[in-house]
Order: sequence, then structure tokens, then C-alpha cells
Amino acid sequence: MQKYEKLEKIGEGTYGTVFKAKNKETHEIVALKRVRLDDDDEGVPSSALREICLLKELKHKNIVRLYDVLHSEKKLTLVFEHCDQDLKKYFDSLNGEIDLDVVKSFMYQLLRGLAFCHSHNVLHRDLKPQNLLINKNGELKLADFGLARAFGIPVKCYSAEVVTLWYRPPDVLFGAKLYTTSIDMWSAGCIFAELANSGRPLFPGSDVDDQLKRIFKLLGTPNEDTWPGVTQLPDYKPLPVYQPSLGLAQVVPRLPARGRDLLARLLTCNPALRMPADDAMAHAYFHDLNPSVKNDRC
Amino acid sequence: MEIPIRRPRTVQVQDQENIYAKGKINLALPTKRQGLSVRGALDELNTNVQAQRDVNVGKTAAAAAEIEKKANGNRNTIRSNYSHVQSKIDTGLASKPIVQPSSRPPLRREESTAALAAKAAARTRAILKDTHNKPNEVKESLNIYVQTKKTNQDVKKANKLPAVREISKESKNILKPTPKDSSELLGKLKLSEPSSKKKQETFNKEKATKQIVPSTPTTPTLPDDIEDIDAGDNNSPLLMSIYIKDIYRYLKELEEKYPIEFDHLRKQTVITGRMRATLIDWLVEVQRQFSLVLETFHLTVGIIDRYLQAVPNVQRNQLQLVGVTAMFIASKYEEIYAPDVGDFVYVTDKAYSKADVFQCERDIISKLGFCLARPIPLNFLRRFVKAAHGTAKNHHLAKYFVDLSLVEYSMAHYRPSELAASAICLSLHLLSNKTLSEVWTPTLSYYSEYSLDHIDPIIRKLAKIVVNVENSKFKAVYNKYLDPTLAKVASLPQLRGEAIYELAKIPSCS
Repeated sequence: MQKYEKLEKIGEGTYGTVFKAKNKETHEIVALKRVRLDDDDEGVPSSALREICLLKELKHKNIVRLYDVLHSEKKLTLVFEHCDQDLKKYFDSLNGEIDLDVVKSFMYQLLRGLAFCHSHNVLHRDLKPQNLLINKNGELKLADFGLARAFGIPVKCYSAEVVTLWYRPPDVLFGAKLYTTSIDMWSAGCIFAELANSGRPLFPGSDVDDQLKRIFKLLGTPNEDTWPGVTQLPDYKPLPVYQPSLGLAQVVPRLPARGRDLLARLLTCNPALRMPADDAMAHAYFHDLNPSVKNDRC
Repeated sequence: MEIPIRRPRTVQVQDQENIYAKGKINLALPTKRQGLSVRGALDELNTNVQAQRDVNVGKTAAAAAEIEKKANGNRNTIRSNYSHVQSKIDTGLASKPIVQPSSRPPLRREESTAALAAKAAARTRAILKDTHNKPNEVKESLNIYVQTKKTNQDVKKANKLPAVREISKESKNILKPTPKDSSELLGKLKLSEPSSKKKQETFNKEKATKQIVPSTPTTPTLPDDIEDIDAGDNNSPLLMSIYIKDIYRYLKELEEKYPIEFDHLRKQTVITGRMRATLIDWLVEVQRQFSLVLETFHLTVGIIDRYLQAVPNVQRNQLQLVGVTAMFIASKYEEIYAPDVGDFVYVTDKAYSKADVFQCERDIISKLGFCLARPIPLNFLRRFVKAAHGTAKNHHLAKYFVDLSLVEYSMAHYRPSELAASAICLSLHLLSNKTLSEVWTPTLSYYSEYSLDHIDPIIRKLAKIVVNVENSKFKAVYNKYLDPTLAKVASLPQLRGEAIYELAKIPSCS
């Protein structure tokens, strides 16, 4: 730990405290995530283990870079590239409305990072603005892989206790344990709407029931016709039948028609019909994306 | 030294693999395994080791059949109870009280994806308005593949005719969510070609360079005699058809990145291949006792081998610690609810402390550079079984062969994909009247990227291991696959038949 000088505390991750720090030799600014290892505990927490193992292999411009891991008896320190802020803080710092070109750029980068994860058989499972980092160059990076995991094919059954409530898809809210990359695509849709509304969360539910109602009020309550198998999900419960009364135009008024079309395809209750990241990147909404963003590869 | 094994728990055992199953799978599962006793001794790793398992097979529970019916015949949900798992000390040096069942909640076995994937495929079909299928065909996943594939091929053919293209596009559009209100309808807005097009694409590293809206569907890049095994998976997200080729390409890269060399224990001064076999044989028992998924076991072996390859001069009394710690790490990576460290300490008969395990964990993780991404044979096996249209029995038998080869030191340097390819090839050969070259179709050769010539010597070595297993000291894998949940494949008459002896007698040329 002599190598780094701690500057300030940035925040708390899924399982550790994050500090801004400076490499004493190179003066490079980094982010340190510190995990305490207690004797009565279980050694390296599985969330840290997975995050490290996955990030070791996921090297991409839109995924936060893990530089190093310092492992001692008492603690585990992950050394990350430092980004100026997360998307949540970016929203808080906005004066007025967000620039729609920024929305498009961020969304595209989010999808590109996700497509990379998914094609390298990794699910993020905790996408939300706090876990998307933004730097001064307008680059967006996926971070906090504490809930992420590698998946097999066919996809097996995983824990249903994933994703922060507001960004959790209806299938997982109904207790589905069998999900796949579609789990991240729902969260991406929620974030898209939140971006377009300059940081106002789309479905800020207070509990699972409230969350489902908010979703269905906008999109209509699913049934066996629109979503075959929904009633068989472990925690399925009949909810009031809402018709999809509100058009997306009222929910994301600033988003152009193509953007709303993309949003509708991401916010699809039936996970089998939800659009994958690859297809989303090719959506016409990104036709006129600034080429410097599009060609800016890893 | 006795290795006591505790943690009796209720385990939900489901057939995870029946996605590839053809027709009805007969699973005669015991409702209870009683008096399951394991006497495994890893006595300083160089003396006699015997693992014996008495499995009192119960009867197929009527209840299980009920559940199966309820689940639309789609899930083989059968509860199996590990009860009265008791450990006995047979060294005579010490005696240990029988451990009472722990109050810890039972580990959840990862559920049958196969059945659910089959369901998903059925739903897909429903969405495609394919009303001709009888409901009970949902059971037969294979049929789903075949049928949807046909549909898909038809679509492909249709695509060649401009007049029909629009129609097929329309049918594809059914897959897409329809906009919720008419204001959302965007007349001109066409999405990129749906995933079926993507499947034809060869691996493209630079996704970002992809055309935004591909105007013409690309022609299939598969040779004529190669079947597109993902063609029927349109819209079955559990099978990940959109990313499947990228993912397997990536797994191949990873296995090359993390090789196990031939004779990787040569730098060890004390540890021999036989000790390694003893250790892994014992870990098979631990895997069963803790009801860990097969992935965890495969990952454990990979971790052990990579560690022993990297760290020379591991001491005899440290080997078991390396083994349990590897499994401890693998569980944390793979399981939903990993056993706690105390469990792993316990199964070593407290030969090591928790602190020892934590220290060993640090050591292993740092020696492996925190990289656990080396693929496991099971990753590939599932793919190849699918390419072979293999049955559940084929799959179980191939898993048996893979597990046997993991115990065997002389097999340790083969790549996971090589082991998987050889295992499925041998399995297909033994369960049919076909020759090796008949079962190793161009499709299998294409997807595995191995010719029969390449895997032939591995198959012969495997055959030898299989015929010798009953005389071997390492029987844990054999015993495991006598279990009805694994279709008792270890007791198949084909494993004592002419075909396998024919393969086993010819010395391997590698």
C-alpha cells in the first residue's frame, strides 16, 4: 500500500470502500477499492473474486480497467482506472436539460460495453447510473462487477436476488431464476429513459409490488398472450390489469421517435423479445451518432 | 486418516441436461439415499485409498412422477435426500461422534435449465404461431431443434426469392415487440436484420464496425454439409444464439491462453500423478456430498493443475489443502450458495485450520493471477452434444468419460475441448452401431474444430481408462455414475462390450 497515497473517499461499492488515490511514483490518479478480510469471514468474498476474475479478462474501452490487485492477509485492494464521476453524479451536476447528443453517445457506449460483456459470456446484473463511470472525455465505462458472473450455455439457474430494484426486469421481479443477457438489457432501457429525462428515474418503485405496478402502468400488464409463461413464474401474482395507456412520447418527451422505438424494444416485459445489445447498437436511432464515438474502439 | 464428510442436506436433483434429450428420459431416481457411507482415506496421499459408496437405491417415487406431471412433463423434478450421511473412522486411532445434520439451509442445486430452455423454445414456437405441434412434444427438445430448424431453413430459402422475402420478414417481425401505441409506429424505420442473420456471420471482433442497418441478408457462410446447429434457436435467449459463436470462439482463445503442459508435475519433487489422482478422486466424493454442480468440480481440477504447474515443490501434506482450497475457490465462483469454509475444513478431518485455507487461498489466487476463466470441459461438451443431436444418455456417458479423464494424470494436458470432443465421440460410438468415423460427422468436426484423426488417440486412451476402471483404486467417478440420476451410465453393458475393448487394446499412438 506504500505505492499509493490515498486522497479521498469516493464511495461504497457492493462490497468495499472506494478511495481516490495517487500512485506515488507515476503520479497517476487511480481508484482503490478496499475489501477487508476478516478471520471469521469466508476469505475472499465471492463478489470480489468474481469481479476480479471477470475484469481480468474483460478489457474494453467501455469497461472500467482493473490495473492491479494487492492481496494481503487483512485486506484486498483493487486498483482501478480513475474516472471523474459516475452517471448519478453527472445527473446531479446538470444545469437544466441534458444534451440529446450526449444521451445518444452515452447510450451507445453503454450498449457497446454490454455487447462486449455478453459476447464474452458475462452478465453484469447490476446496471444503474451509480455503476456507470464518466470521464472528462465523455467516455462511459461499466463498473462494479460485484454481482456479475460468467454464464454457461444453456444458461443455468442463478440467484434471483440481483439488480437494484428500480432497474430490475419484470421477469426477475416475478422470481425468474433463469435469465440471461436480457436481464442487463432491461436495466439499459431504464437507464436510457433516465438519461433522456436528465436523471429522473423511470420506475422508482418502493418495493417489488410497487415496482411491478409502475412498470405495468406504462407498458400494460402482461398476460399469457403477450408473454407466454409469465403466470408460471415462481413469484407471479395477478396484478391490476393496466392498459398501456401512456405512450412513451409522454414519458420521454425529449426523445425523438427513433429513440422511443429503441426504448420500447429494450423495455419489453417478455425477456425473450427484449432486444440484445448487438441489435440495439445497430438501431436506426444511432444512425446519426457522432462518428468519433462510433469508431472510438478499444 | 479418515475423511469425514458431513452436511447431509436436501438436494433438488434435476436433470440439467435433457435439453439435448431425444424422446422420453427414463429417470428412475431414488427418493432417498439411505445409509450412504463414504470411507475415503487420503492417508498422507501415498497409502491405500479406498472410497466405497453404498447406495441404497430407493424406488422411484410416485410423488416425483406427480411433480413431473404437474410441471407439464417438462421438469424432472425429483427430490433426493441425502440423509444419514455418516462418517466413520476406520483408522482405529480416533473415533469421532456422528455429526448431526447441520442446520444450514440446503444448497440449491442450479435448476434444470434444459427443461426451461425447452419451454422457452416452445414459447418461441408459439409466438411463431406454429400451431401444428402437439403440446407433448415440448418434452422432446430434440424435436424442437429439428422442427424449428426446418422452419428456419425454409425461411432462409425463402429469403433467396425477393417476392417471398417480405413475407418472411413479416413473420420475423412477429418476434419483435409491437409498438405500444400507433404514434410509436415508425413507417420507414427498419431494424437491423434479426438475429438469424447474425448467426451466419463469422466472428467479427470489431462489432463497432458493423453496418448500422445491413441492407441485404448475408449468405450463409457454412459449407453445404455442415448443419447450422443454432438455426432453431432463434429467440431462445437461454441458448444465447445471438452470441453463441462469439462466446465459443472466446472460450477457445481462453483455453489456449491457459494451457496445462504435458507432464505438468515434472517440476514437483514429491507430488506424483498418482497422488493427484488420489486427491481428485476424493474431491469427487466431496462434490457429491456438498451437492456442488459439476462446473465446480471441473473448475476445481483446473485450478489444482494450474497451481501445481506453477508452483514446484509442493509438499505431500499440503496437497489435500490445495485440493480443498481449490474447491472452496471454485465454489465461490460457481455456486449460488457456496459451502462455508468450515465445511471444507471439516472434510479434511480438521487436518487444516480455517486460517490455513485462507492462506492457501491467497497463495493459489495470486499464483493464478486471479484468473479463473480457463474454460471447463463441460462448456464444450454441451455444445458438442447439441451438434451431435445426442441423447441425455449420450450426454451422461460423455460426462462420465470426461470425469474419468480428469482423475487420470496422463490426460491432464489435453485441452478441455479435446476431452469433450473425445468423450462425446466415444459415447456416440458405443451407444450406436456406428463406427467412429460415422458418428464424427462433418458437423461435429466443424463445431469442435477437431478431425477424427486428431481425437482418435485420446478416444483410445479414454477407452482404456474406462475398461480398467473396475480394477482401479480410483472409483469415485465410477460410483458417482452408478447413480440413477446420471442414468447409471457406468454400468452400461456397452462399457464391457466388444467395441470398447477393441479400442482399448490398440496402443495409443500419442
